[in-house]
Amino acid sequence: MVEERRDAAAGVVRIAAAAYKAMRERACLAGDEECCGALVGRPMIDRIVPLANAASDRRSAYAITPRALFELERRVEVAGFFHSHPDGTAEPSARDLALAWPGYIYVIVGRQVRAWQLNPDGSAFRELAVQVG
Amino acid sequence: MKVQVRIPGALREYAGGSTELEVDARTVQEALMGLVTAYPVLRRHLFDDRGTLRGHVNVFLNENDVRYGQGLSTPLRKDDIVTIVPSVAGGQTVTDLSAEEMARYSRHLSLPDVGIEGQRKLKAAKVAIVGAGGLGSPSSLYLAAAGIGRIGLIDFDTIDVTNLQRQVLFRSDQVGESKARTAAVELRRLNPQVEVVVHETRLTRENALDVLAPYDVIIDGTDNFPTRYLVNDACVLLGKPYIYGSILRFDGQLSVFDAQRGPCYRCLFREPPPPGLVPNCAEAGVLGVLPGIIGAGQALEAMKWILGLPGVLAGRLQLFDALTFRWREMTLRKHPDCPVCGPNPTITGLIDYDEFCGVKPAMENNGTEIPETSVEEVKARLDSGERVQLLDVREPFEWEIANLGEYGAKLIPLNELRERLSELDPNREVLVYCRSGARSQRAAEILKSNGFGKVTNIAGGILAWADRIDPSKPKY
Repeated sequence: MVEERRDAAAGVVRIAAAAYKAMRERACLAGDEECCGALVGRPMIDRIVPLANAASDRRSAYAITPRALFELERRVEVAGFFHSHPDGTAEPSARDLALAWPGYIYVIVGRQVRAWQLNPDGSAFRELAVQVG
Repeated sequence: MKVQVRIPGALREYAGGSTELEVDARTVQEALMGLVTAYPVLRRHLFDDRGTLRGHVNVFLNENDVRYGQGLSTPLRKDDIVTIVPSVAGGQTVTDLSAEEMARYSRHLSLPDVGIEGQRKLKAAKVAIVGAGGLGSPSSLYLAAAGIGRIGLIDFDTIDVTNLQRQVLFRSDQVGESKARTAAVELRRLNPQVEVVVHETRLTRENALDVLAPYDVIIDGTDNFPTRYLVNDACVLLGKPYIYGSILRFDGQLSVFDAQRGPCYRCLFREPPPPGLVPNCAEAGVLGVLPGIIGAGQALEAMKWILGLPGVLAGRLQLFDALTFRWREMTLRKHPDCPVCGPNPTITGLIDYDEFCGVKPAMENNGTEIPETSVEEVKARLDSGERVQLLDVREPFEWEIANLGEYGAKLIPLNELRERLSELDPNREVLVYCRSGARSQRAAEILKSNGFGKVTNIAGGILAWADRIDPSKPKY
């Protein structure tokens, strides 16, 4: 439902129910620290690959090591990444925007699960509707 | 030397969809240059203005990050593979608490289920309150005091003297001023650390999604069905929780409709009651302290939702009786065929809520126009000695406050009108009035459809009469 309205205005990202659930669980387990990982599969995200959060302050940041991504991209098609915001927000922060890459889908798990993609000019994120199932 | 350059998923759209490119290069630097020569748009993603490799771009030569070798000048051998690997990082905006905030919220910080983390969540949260009235007063005051980061107040109305009996945000000397702006001043005085956003507008199907989208939680403090369905549907479409409260006479209701976790308002009430069946507070009255109890409950549920505390009233409707001081709880279930939050929704965008709730008079009378007349015209006709039937369709208690009995007005409350038509003469013109003109419009439609020849609605009702004809009549 939510998805259909946004569908008209912007894009949609479809996430398999198991992958969606897994992201929420990872976020929950991480507690007051951010968790992160890769989204695998196109056009539908079939599964997630949890990756270690290499940031120095995991309570308010996440970082995926180049090594981890190098290894992963050799094996699978990475569609994007997810990370959690322990404060519950699901909108990208200024840091999320500054460090974002075009082409990837960024899913943020707060109280809600919302998906974002960089505008073609890189100036801002646009929201993608999340379709589960 | 022929080598392969592998392009990450993020950048393939700038490389014509290619996953790799064969280039002729002697060093890693040359290999990257070969790539940006082939696909010039890639340059700004890999290098800054001075031609230095961007910090969040990593380059692997075969199995190793070149940063740990000779960097970009690392020499290449035939069939080497150069892989570009993006750095992926980010994180939430850090909402730190100042020393002043630590002191202000110390009773929260010492509460194990809130603490510093919880207070940060409150600071990061954005709450919209639709209607700065009886319910919006206590909910906005408590949320501002608790340190919610941003509070949006949506109200187009001005403060009326009749509001002061229960709308504790406002003072006697503020009658006539803007509710939203006055409330914002009051909330900022209470807590300058809260950002208060004023939306001095009526929430409509055209603006509701845009107005509500920036907020995390929506609190409904209105008392009419069109707005209630509008807010519910907008919350479902936006995927946001709808904190519901309503009050009438001595009764209150409270619930949280979060379609992502449970039922929405439409699962409970598929359709609104027929217009006129459920009176509003202006018609039926409300005990002054009741909105304080229900509005504070809405603030409580909003805070629990933001903090992630258990026991949020999702799927539970609380019914409060002020006279017995008892709360009853009804368990609510998601309706499998809910037209807005069900699996096959028929409502996929906002609709015309006045029409849906039957409050558009034109819908009701099938095109029969009810003529209107002004209080000045009525006064002139009465003064000229014309004998017209004046019909008052309000409730008896309203008649007690002010009436036109001195001109021979007859009282028949709207809900008794159909049974008491015989008390009126269908062959003489009937001039109908109520408090402000809405109920009399409906009464006029009923008379018309029952064979009354000439029926006229007095625009503005007894309030207009008190304003423009006889200021000695009390307003309510």
